[in-house]
Amino acid sequence: MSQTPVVYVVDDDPSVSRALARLFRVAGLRLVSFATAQEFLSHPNCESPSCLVLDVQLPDLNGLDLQRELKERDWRLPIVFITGHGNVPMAVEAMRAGAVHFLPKPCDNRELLAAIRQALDRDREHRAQQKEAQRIKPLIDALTPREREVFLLVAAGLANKNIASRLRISLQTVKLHRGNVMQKLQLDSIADLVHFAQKTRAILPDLEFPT
Amino acid sequence: MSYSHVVIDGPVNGPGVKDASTIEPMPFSILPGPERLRFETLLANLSATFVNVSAAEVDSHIESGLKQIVEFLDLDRSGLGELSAEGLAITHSYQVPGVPPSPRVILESQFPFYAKKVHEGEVFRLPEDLPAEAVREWEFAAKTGLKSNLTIPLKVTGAVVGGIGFASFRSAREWPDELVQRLRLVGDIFTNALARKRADEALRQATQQATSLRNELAHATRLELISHLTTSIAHEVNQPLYAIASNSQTALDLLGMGDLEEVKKALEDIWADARRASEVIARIRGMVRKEEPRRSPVRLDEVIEELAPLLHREAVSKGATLQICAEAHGVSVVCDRVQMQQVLLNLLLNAVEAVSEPGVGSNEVVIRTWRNDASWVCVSVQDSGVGLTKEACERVFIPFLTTKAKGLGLGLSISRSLVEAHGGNLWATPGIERGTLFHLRLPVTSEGQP
Repeated sequence: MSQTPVVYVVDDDPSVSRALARLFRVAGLRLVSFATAQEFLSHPNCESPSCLVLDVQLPDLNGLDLQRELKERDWRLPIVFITGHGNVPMAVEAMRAGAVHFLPKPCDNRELLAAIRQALDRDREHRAQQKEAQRIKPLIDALTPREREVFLLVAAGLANKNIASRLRISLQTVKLHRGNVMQKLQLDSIADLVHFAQKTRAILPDLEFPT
Repeated sequence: MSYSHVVIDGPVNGPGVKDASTIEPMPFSILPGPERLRFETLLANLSATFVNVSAAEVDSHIESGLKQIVEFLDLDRSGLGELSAEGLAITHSYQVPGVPPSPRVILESQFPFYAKKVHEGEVFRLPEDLPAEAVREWEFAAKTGLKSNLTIPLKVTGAVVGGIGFASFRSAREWPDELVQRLRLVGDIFTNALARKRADEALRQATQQATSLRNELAHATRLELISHLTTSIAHEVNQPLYAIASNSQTALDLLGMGDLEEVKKALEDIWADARRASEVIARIRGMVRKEEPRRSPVRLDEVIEELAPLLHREAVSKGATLQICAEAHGVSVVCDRVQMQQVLLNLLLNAVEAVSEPGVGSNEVVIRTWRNDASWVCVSVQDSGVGLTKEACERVFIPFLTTKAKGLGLGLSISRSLVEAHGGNLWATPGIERGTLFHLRLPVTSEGQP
């Protein structure tokens, strides 16, 4: 499971690319460098934890524009900006759009590596979440609409009879649905169900939870 | 006083002097026939000499003319002077060996009577014209042993500007009118030549001044031009600096790990990047520095190649792409490298600007160099911007006419003047499909290695 993390760098300067390649090699990271934003965008996403080191000024696209473009493509790659001509508004925009860090160029190698590690951690976390989402999604999808309602209400802490009156069904029916939910979601206890619901809420925010 | 107008008045009609046209056939009373002919020949030759004499040779020819006359007429000294605030300042003179030279200035305060005569444009003869009351002049003559003197005032546009004088210390001389007429002619020839020389000098000075003004202006516009590139330049220096900073830190880590082979590579990279950064700075310093222009064989292809990195960032930030087709194949032109850098940079920056305007579909800037037959190296800069009309193509070279928010509007006019000072041309035409095409050509001066 410990794949070498990949750091993508988009910088059209060969000197900078060489220096970063050397730094990353020593740090045990793999560098994949691109001269232009377009080249990077046409590159397939990889399986390893990865992040992007980006100058604000790129040959073909502004770094901030590339950040936006990635977001539109739903490519949630953590970005570390590093630039020789940054300013505060630029940094604010980048950070607001979710950048991990906005570093000056030149910067200390340690600072850059720390930022990259942070970015890679974020990516790992994201990837883990996605994996979990992939596991959970079919389970949730297997529930009937009624079972889903019951699941969410149980998770919200409602007792069976309250659920029954709220859904205008019999207590017996609620118990039946509840048994099906536990079975379909492969849960053993009410504590498991609450925990599962929490995870689901984090990973699948689209699912509507009753308040 | 000044000789600035070359128009020489006719003879000064002082008392006892007849019009030159009426005296031609009259013999000199003091010269026998053959001698007179020889003298006329001497004057004719002198006159002919001065027709073609160059400004630099005027002075020596005047002195030689004075000498010839002194020798021919068996005089002792002669001089040409110009009127100054103090008196008659002697500019050219000749004296036979053993005779004291003319005073540097014949002071008005010292020779009031003499000075008055000259000022009034009247011919002065010693001793005939010197009255008894002119005590100081008499004293001077007695002291120096001056026996005889003739001074003829010289006029330019009606005003006395100086005089020509002849002196004898050995014997008294007669100065018949015919001789005075001829000597006045000599004085006029000299005055004329001097006026021409001064006009020449004034012209040279004016040209020099114009050149130096152009260079000053070129420098000022160059600074303005560079100011557009500051971001670009900062980037071009910053990138290698960053690589250096990163590599040196990594090299320290590598040392700790004992990977000397990689340390060596890192150090080599550091060295190359340091050189790269300093080259950028040297190039900018070369353009910013205020130096006398110096012409040497320059390959325009090379100049463009050097400019490309400075322009790269600017083009990138404006969304322009720069394409270089250098096909002048090592042909050199003799020019001031910095000035030509300026001209090319100006054209390229304009082109980048033109394609970055809103509503421009294509963003391509193409610079091409080639050799046109034997005599020209040509450069064209093509942009694909909105383009200029035929009239506007000429208007862009008019100083201070600018459509840009920033800048003086001097870039192209100074560029044209720099190119023309190098014997070349700079002009613009509408692009074939769109945009504008700037053409530059400079005379080929040498082949191969500069």
